[in-house]
Amino acid sequence: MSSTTAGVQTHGHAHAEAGVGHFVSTYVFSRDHKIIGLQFLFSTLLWFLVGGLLALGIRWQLAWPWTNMPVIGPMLFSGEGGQISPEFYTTLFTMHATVMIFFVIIPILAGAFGNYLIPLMIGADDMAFPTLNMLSYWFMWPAFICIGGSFFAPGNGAGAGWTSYPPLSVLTEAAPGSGMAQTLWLLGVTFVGVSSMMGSVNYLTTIIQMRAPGMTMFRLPMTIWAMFITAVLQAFALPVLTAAGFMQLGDRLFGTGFFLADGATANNMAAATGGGQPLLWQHLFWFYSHPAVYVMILPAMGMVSDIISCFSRKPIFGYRPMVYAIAGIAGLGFIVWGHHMFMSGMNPYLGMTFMVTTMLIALPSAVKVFNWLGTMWGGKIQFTTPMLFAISFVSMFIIGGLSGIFMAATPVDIFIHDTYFIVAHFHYVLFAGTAMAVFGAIYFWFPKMFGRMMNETWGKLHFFLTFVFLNGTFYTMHILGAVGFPRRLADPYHYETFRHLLPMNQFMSVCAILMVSVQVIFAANLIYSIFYGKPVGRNPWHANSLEWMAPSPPGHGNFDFQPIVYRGPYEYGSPEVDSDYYPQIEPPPDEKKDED
Amino acid sequence: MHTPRSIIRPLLLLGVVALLVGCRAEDARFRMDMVYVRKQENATEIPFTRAQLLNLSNVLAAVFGTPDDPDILIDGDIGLHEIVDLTNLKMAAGPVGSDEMGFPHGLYREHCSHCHGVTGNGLGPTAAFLNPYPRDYRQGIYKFKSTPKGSRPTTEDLKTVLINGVQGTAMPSFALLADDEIDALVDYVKYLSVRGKIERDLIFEVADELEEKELLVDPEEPDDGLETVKMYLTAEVRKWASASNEATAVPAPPASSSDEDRLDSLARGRELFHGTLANCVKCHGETALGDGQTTDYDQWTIEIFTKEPQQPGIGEFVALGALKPRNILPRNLRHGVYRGGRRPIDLYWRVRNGIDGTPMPAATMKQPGQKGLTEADIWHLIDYVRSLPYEPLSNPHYGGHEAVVERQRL
Amino acid sequence: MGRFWSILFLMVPVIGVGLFVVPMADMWPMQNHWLPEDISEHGASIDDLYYFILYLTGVIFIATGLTLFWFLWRYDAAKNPDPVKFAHGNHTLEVIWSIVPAAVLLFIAIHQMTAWAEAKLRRPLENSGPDGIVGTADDVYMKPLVEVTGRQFEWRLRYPGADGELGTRDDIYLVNDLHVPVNEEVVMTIKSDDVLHSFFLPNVRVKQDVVPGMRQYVWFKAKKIGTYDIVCAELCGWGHYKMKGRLTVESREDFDRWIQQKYQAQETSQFTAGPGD
Repeated sequence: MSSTTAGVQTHGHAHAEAGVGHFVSTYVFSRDHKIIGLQFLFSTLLWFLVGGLLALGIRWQLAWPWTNMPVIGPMLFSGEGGQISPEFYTTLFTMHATVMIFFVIIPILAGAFGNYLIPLMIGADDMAFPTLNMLSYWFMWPAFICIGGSFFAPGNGAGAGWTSYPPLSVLTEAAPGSGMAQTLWLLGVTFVGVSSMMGSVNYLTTIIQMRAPGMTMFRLPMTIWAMFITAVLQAFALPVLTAAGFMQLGDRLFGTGFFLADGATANNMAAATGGGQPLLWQHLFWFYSHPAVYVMILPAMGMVSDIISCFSRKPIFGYRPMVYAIAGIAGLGFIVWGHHMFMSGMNPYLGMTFMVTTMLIALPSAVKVFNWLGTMWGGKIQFTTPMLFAISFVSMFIIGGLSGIFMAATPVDIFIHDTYFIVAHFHYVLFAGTAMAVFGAIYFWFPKMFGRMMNETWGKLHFFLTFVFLNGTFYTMHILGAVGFPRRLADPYHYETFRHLLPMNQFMSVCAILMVSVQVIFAANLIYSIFYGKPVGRNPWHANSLEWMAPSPPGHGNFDFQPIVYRGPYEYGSPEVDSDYYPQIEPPPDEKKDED
Repeated sequence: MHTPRSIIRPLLLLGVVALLVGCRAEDARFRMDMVYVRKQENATEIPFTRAQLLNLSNVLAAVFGTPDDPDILIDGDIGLHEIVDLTNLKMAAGPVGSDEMGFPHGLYREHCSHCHGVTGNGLGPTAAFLNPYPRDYRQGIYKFKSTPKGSRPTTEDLKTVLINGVQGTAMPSFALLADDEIDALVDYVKYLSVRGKIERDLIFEVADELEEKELLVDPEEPDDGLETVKMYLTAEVRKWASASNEATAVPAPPASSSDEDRLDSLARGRELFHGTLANCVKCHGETALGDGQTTDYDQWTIEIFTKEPQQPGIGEFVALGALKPRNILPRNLRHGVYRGGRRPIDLYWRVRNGIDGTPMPAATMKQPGQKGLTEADIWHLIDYVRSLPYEPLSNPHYGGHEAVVERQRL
Repeated sequence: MGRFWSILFLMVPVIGVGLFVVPMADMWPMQNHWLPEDISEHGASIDDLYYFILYLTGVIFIATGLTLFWFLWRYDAAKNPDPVKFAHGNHTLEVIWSIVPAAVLLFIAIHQMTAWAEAKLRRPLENSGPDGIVGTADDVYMKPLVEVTGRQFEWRLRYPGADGELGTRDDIYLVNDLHVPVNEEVVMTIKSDDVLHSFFLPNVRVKQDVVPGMRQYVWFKAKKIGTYDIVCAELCGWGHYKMKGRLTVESREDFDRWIQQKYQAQETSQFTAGPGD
């Protein structure tokens, strides 16, 4: 170990103040990336619960249509015997998706883990712009208030889908939730976008400029590469969504006509000015939202790589190909957005071009899967809780990725577009994939964050039950999609074609209810372990990367020494040393001998 | 270090209990027409007591049952059984589902209640967001029927509306339902309509005829009150039963075999449209775009708001659940959208009988010694109206009928 | 425990494949849980492509799933006595498993272009015009059988009537009740009155979003008589689930008779009040 001291850097604010002001600046408006990361983590976990409950509302209606819905029924529809109104169903799926995408997955990956891990993994003492970082968290709160408030606006919430296609979302008379609720929704999403853009700027600058000595780009852990490329995606794609959001606000509030055809009207309202094109929104929206789905998976892939390598006690197989694959996914991700629009009325020739690029994007994803398998091959696999979640990511991502090929094939998409086949696909990649990776990441980095371990037994139980019930909920959606079972229908059983699918939906809903209930185990484990988990030192997992060299939890300034990096983060099982891991900061044997 | 597990378990238990407590909704129930109650209270300046309202509620429940369990008072020759079938009612009523034998129930709640309300009051959760508002059955007034103003619609009229929907509104076509399901829903609408009308009549009775705080049906001496109820019920059922006799016959249109005849008819129709006999342009406008008279209200609105909606008290009605008043606009005849149906007989009925509940008046028919329209005149008018959407002036800029982008084969 | 987890992950390919085999073989409890009956002429190209991709991805799914299981089983730290295979990758493997999937994907991409063109680009022609060459500016397109307008929350249909022209006085207006003659190529023009809807005919493998301000065409040839669903497949508001229509495929004679009947009903100009309902 190097004996040079690099002290904890001071940041100029007075620690001497006691009382509320000190508490506020340390824990509320903190500029320490770790506190901000934890703030993101806890906020998003709470919204995860909200999103999950909204999903249960959907599953309830699909399993027991027009019956007394628990909690919601008595609260909102007691005069109708607890039976929900059809527009409430549109609110349920709109807000479920909105909450999960904008308030859970994106902020937990970038805001929570990105924030927490980036400086630690690269050997920096904090982010490049701590105040901007603090703002990026607090900009989420207006979004929380807007979206939370939209539930109380007339119509009980936005109901135009998370995709918010005009004219439905723009004509205020076209849907019950199309008034104030939809406006609040747009504002909320805009705030989230601003928060993410602030984060991107920070992450890119930090990773490029603040790496410890010896930390070359190709010695970065995959988590950092993923966060880096994700930040690029966010920075370049988000402005398009923000602009589109303002255009939609303009159409709704100020009489512009970007997305309305001439004479646009609905529900006998006075005709709007028009002169625009509804499809324009779809292009702008998906130009962001397709890269967004890669934002929602790449950090998870990065973290999974780190976890698998650590618990296989082997280097990651094909580090550079893995990095290029992430870059390939991101780059290709910018030129595939039209595959969401094959049926939209867009020129069919464009359908052909997007189909080719979409097919190609399966390639880097496949390469990554093969490399994860290669990492496990020949290793000494430790089946810890984080490893179980990481393995399940690989297994489930195979399903999600392969199902994507069906919808990339445009003729097949004619049939499965807007059916449950699509729903199955994205729930596999986002929940069975990313969310499982997130759980794994929480179990993995919890000791670093809190200096204690989460309970392994409860963790494994949580994994097992979640794994079983999620597959019960989502796998048969592929079958429903094959029948042509459409999305977003409050009562699909009106149709002869789908009437007999009720029992399968009931099975799925039971699995969904059990899956959400099981998360109580996780929540209890998390909260209990924060206060009473087994205390541990810096490196309970015997991992290589820099964050495991700092104290658990790291103090202000992160490292109590100056990290100097000698190798990549995946030298597990290296023949150069006796132990089965070889941290990045450990000097090579010959240099050590020089010192002695 | 004390074990914190003891905190977590009770908390979890509490959460589960709280969830279960919030799990059961009350059964669906009919809502009293508090807006009408308030209107009567304002007129008489005597408030209703809770006991009176409860009494009214119980009387109605005794006569008509609940949304889950409908009833028809059968007492000798008095009852709804003349105009509805109890089996049909049972199929339409109740929560959505089917009984042990597999017979469906809850058709009304599945298809109708979220707009028309469980009570048939046009105040379902979706109603506020629709334009026009869904029908409130409780006054027994229906717009699109074959009978004149003041009469009830025939069963066939209601069925037609259900099967065709109302074009240009949110009322969809239910043609794809089975015949017996449509019959069940028609009967249930009649049932709700009669119930609503009786409720109004009884509220009026309590406000106008009874002493302050006097109950309509005194539990100790129910006979007087029940007689009143039966009287109103009989009257209303009679009206429904006689509707089919009151349907307006539609004579065949005058023969028009040649183009010249047709052009003559159109010319005559245009003349009548713009003339003083029919006076169509007063409301429908010189251009027939419906811009002649746009400040009027329909019957259901006027009843509460009158023509000065700015007067105080609107807020209190809205607070009691009434929907915000909207003007009723005369039809834009150049769209080719005919809410009550596009068949010639439908248009004939609209012109001949007017549209009940709206300012559209019945035609003044020719009487001996008095000016008026003849049957042939009405047909000429209808010919003209039907030709309007095809005039060059009618090239609509509403509704997107013009193709902006036509995908050509490249 | 490693054995248990390995078996758990083995269940993924095993049960995963099973859950497809059961509906495909129409076995209990998933009878009739597969692609709905295809009664169209061109639908086969879509279904064939679906099956091709299904089998291909099925093979990959099984192979990767079994590989994953095998690695977890064999390299379980508790049961694996060998030292770790300290490798950073394998260049040859990377090349192979980049090129092979790329080739397969490109093959699928190019292979399906015909099916897409048939469905979306090649609108049926009445004839190829005076020059006799298909694909030139003088081609005469087949006239649409019906105009379908999506509206909140119904499908409004307009048949051209005896004169064969849409927009004239003899047009026949209907709601949700779409009839077409069997064994004839049928073209429909589709549009929307208010918001986005999507005209989805599951049994004919047709789907196209209708956009206000845009007139589009769909075409198919139905080969079997019967009634089938019309489904709205793009969120259009609270009544999205209610936009159920019915497609009736019948013989040309029955179709003509039905249309005539509908026209007469629409032109009803006489009514005598009956004695009772």
